[in-house]
Parts: sequence; structure tokens; C-alpha cells
Amino acid sequence: MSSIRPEAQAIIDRLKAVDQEKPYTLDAARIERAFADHLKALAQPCRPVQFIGGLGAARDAVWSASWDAARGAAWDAARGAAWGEAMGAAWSVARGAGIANSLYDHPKYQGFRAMWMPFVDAFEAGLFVYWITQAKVIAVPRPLFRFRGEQLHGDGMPAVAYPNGERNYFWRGVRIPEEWGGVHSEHWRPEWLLAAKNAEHRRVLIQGLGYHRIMAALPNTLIHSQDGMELREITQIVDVEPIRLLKVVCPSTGFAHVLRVPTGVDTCEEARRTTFPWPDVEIMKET
Amino acid sequence: MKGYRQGDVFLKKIEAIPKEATKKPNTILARGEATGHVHEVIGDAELYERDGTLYLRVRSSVELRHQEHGTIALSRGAYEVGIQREYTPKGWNRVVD
Repeated sequence: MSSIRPEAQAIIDRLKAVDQEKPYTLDAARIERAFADHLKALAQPCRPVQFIGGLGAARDAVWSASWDAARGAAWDAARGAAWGEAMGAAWSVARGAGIANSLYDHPKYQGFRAMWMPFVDAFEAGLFVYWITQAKVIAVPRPLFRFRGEQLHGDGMPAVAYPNGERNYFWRGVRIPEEWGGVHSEHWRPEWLLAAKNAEHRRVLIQGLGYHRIMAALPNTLIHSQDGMELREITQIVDVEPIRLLKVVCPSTGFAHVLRVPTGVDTCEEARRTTFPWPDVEIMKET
Repeated sequence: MKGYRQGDVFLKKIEAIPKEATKKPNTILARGEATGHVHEVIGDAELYERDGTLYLRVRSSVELRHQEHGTIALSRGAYEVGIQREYTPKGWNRVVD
């Protein structure tokens, strides 16, 4: 049976003690010291830390920095550096904890420790993600997070808010469009169901508004129902042909989902089969 | 023909994986855009791709896992991966979540 060593547990406890729902706290000097220590342990030259208050803006800055450094190289290499090599401070702390827990008797333990332990300080000081480019470190302060249980969630407000005004909206762990996320769920509009392209967004709308409330608001006819499924046709003209919707319930989550099906199908099971990539395959197990 | 379904991901047993298919670096069959959740095969298996279609080679019994959906055990063999689809007047689209 594995156990957590005291030093690793101490790191985990410091990580857990950071309140991510508190307004921004940034100790820039402490973060700069942490990067200096990290680079020294890697035998790399120290470089300035540029703080950028949003993830999108930081990616743009990393792209520019990488492009400057890689001038003449492939454009994709610079773009890849901006989008692929971000390091999460929490991940770096976790790496430190992992080293403390499992490599404590390794001959190079002190060296590994010197590389990764500075990130415990940096995380506490408000570091969220960072990139180390040739000329500088680009660091993004921790945004304000809102959770519901363990899931990112904000009802009518952003679940992730960066100091520079960048916002991300989540509903119970699902990222949703800003047009929805900025509106309290009591004021969500049933007709959004017909326009949403993403099936998970539709599921969230159903969860937030209630399937029956949506159907009560959209003029429709019930064509067929079977085993919790419903096949309905929206009678309001909003497309080049009538919209026929199948409601199904996921056997694993119990969540209701809605999919558009062809107008030619008249039973729920027939409609369900049309959504399978291979309608004739016998499904042995479904979860 | 027999198959399995986990959410919007489907698998059907096939005789063999096309020879021209190229191996992928992981065994993630699909990733949710809005949730970040993944349908991932855990165990001795390899994922291949040809012309946008994924194929799975299972060398011994493996598990198809997802953060919300129940786990599905898969036996040794070759599989084609399919994604649930949705009707539009212009044609069928893969379900995006």
C-alpha cells in the first residue's frame, strides 16, 4: 500500500490552502524569485518575468516572443510554442510533490527538488500558468474561479475571470457561450435549443431550464413516445423544413439530450437508430 | 455485426484495420469540446487513423473509460470507431459536444 511522505503531504496541504475563489492576490516579487531559483537549478540564465493578466493575451505574447526567437524557422513552430507549451503552476507543484514522495532516495533528489519546489512558492504567490521563452518568462496570474462543488460554475456570471477582463463561462463544469453565461439561467431562452450546435450546450440548457418548460414554450407536436424517449416536431417555421427533435436519456448520467432527426421517421427507436454511425450494428452494451 | 456505445462514441468489430492506417500517439477516441472529458482506452491497445476514421487494435482485454459514462470492457480484436450523428437539412453532421 502506498503512503504519502510528510514532505509531499506538506506540499499538498499548501496547495489546498490556496483559496482560488478569493479575489486576485499577486506577489510579483516572490514569483520572480521562484523563477530565478528554478532557472538556476536548471543551470539556465535568469530572465525577466512579464506578467500578463489574461490567458489569450499571454498566448499572443508568447507567440510573438517565440516568433522573434525562431525567426526564419517554420511559422508552426512559433505557434506551437504559444499553444502547446504552457505550464500550469499547479501542475508544477504536483510534480514537486511527486518528486518529494517517490524520488527522496534518488542520488539527484536535491537537484530535482531545487528545480520544482520554487513553484510551491510561486503558486501561493498567485501564479497560474507560465511559459519560459528564450528571452523572458511570461506569467499569467491566477484568475478568480467560481466553483459549485468541484465543478467550475457561474450562474449569470463568469466562472473564470482574469485580471485583464478575459472571462470564461461554465455551467456545472461545461464551458458555455458568453451569450448564455452572462445571463442568469432563470432568463435563458427556450429557442436557444434550436440554434445550439453543440450537443452538450443543449443538454445544459435542458438542465437549466427544464425540458418541459422548453417544450411548453416552443410550439410543437408530440409524434411518439417510448421508454423515456420523445419524438416531437416544432411547428414554428424556423428552418427550411420542420424540425423534428428526439429526446433521449443517457443511461449513465440520467441527463436528457435532444438531437435533430429526419422528418421521415415516426417512432422514437427508428429516430434513435438514424443517429447511429452504423444503424444496422447490434449494440451489445450501451453506457 | 456487433458493436458498443459509450455516449456519442460507437465501436464496431471489424476483420482487420486498413493497412494504410497510421498509428496515433495515444488511445483517446474522442474529447468533449465543452467539458474536456475524454473517451479513452486503457490497456494494451493501439489507435490508428485513416482518412479521418479511427481504428482500434486491442491486444488483450482493455477498458473504454470516460469521466461520466460507464466503463465498457473490450476484448481482443480490431474495431472501427464511429461518432453519433445528427440530421440537418444539408446532410448529416457528427455530434459535437
